[in-house]
Amino acid sequence: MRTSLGKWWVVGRREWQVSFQTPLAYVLLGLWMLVAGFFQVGLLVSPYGGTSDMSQLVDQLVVLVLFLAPFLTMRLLAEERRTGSEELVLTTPISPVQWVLGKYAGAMMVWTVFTLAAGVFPLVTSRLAILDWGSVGAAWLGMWLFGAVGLAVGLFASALTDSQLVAAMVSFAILLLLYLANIVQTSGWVASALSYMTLSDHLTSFTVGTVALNDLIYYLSLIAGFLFLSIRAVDLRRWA
Amino acid sequence: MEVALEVDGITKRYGPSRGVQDITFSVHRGEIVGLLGPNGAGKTTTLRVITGFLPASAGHVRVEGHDLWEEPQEVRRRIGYLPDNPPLYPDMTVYDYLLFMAELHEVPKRRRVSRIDEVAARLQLGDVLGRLVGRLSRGFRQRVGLAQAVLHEPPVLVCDEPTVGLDPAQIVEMRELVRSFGSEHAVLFSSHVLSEVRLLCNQIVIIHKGAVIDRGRPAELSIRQHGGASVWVLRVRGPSAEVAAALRAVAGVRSVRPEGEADGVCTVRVEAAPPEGIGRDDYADRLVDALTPGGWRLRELHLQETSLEDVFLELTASEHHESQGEPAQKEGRP
Ligand SMILES: Nc1ncnc2c1ncn2[C@@H]1O[C@H](COP(=O)(O)OP(=O)(O)OP(=O)(O)O)[C@@H](O)[C@H]1O
Ligand SMILES: [Mg+2]
Repeated sequence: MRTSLGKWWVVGRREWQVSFQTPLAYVLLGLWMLVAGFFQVGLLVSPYGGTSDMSQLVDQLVVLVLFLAPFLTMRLLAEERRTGSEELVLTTPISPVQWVLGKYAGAMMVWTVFTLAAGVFPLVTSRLAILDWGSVGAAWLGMWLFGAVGLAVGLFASALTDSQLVAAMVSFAILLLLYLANIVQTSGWVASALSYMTLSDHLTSFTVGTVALNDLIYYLSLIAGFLFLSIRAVDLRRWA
Repeated sequence: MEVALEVDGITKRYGPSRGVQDITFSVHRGEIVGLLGPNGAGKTTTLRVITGFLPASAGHVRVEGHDLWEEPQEVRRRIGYLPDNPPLYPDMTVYDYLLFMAELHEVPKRRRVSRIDEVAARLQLGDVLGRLVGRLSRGFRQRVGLAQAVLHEPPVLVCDEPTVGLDPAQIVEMRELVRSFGSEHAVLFSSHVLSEVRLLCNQIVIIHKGAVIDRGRPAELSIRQHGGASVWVLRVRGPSAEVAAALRAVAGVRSVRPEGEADGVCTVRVEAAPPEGIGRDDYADRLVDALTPGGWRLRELHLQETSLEDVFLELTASEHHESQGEPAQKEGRP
């Protein structure tokens, strides 16, 4: 019996290879480092007392992720549908689950490169000040998970349409709503529900250096939820 | 012969009216079946349902006994598919692409490289393995598409209009390839080119407006066209009028038309329906026998096979068709 496990990896590896064949990934990586460097310098020379606190940088970087994630994911499924290349893949014995997970894995590899590249900032800062590497690690894990949610949302948006532009706009809108959900001023359970939904609120425990289990679960369940929706979308659009 | 692919009453609706209705046929191992129909007839739709890309609204597809509804993966393992204008990944090299598809098609790891080499040699892709797919000419892209479809040696090979958009030399090559795969696989291919279907197929399924309107071996279809009559053309050394008279006397002959005479050799066109139980070859002998008493010598005799075009045109001109009450008619309700 031939195994069909690991086909997600075949898809993911191809996605990873193709990502770095187009200029888009390099341009995004360049911009990411440029803006992150700008944030970092801003924090170090701030007139309100320069800070070497990495948590503030992460708080700023996740805002950048709201813009980055749609770009990293808009192509994934929308382009497959536009060109029809999905037809050749989905008529092989691959399941939609493996297909979607593979796409996600490919994008996650690219995002991991971004996360690691941003590691130069703590490295440089550690020459000027003493850093608690445990807290830095927790903050970076939080940022990585935040991005992982962003990519899952982006992948879902990309499964809904055959236009990369539409996919990018939809994922940006969803991410922004999730990020700002607690902006609505209410009270009672609505407020706490909205606050619970808010992406940024769950980052705090990471950036202060303590990884809270419920925040971890929040991120992981959002990822699982959007991956599930993406798989459903791929399944359903064949019935259209 | 073993049935490799069984298509049983598949219906696919896009919205209320378009799509295909109640398509039924089967393909045996070692057989090439042509799905023939004009633009928009539903060829692509049928093939997409068979390959599991589109779910059918009704009906069943079975490959070597596995039902597409119950065991979709088992069915997909057994089908190689070359879609219309194959949507390959332009940003990969041919070799990487074939390797990628080999993995998806579950070619065992130790056989992948040798299979790619074999297929590339057979399809003459050796020189382009390192090139980007997006830079290939149409003919090469079509061959790469065919290569990925046969990498895993599927029992069933499905090709959607494999010769469309190719130049004449490439059309001949592609037809040769399809024919050569016919001996190992059960091949189903679609086309709107009659001569091509006749050339390659053992069976023809004609679809029009989403329904099967006729099917059979190419020769059967052309016989049916004239209500069972066939056309023979003879060139005979002898006087045209007398030769024609002698041929008219043969049982089953409907009409004889002299078509000219030169240097004592005349050409006559005979339309005849061989009597029950007599094959067309035996009937040709009877025509020749009719020449013997006059002492006229036969120069040339052939059966005219051009009437599949007429079958097609006639079947697809539905008004005309309906008035004739063809039994194979399965046109859906309006
Ligand atoms: N995705 C779709 N949504 C709605 N209608 C469709 C879709 N695909 C095909 N159709 C319609 O179904 C009918 C059959 O189309 P199909 O593409 O199967 O024909 P075809 O025989 O392959 O034609 P061609 O020779 O042009 O390739 C047509 O009327 C077509 O417009
Ligand atoms: Mg078509």
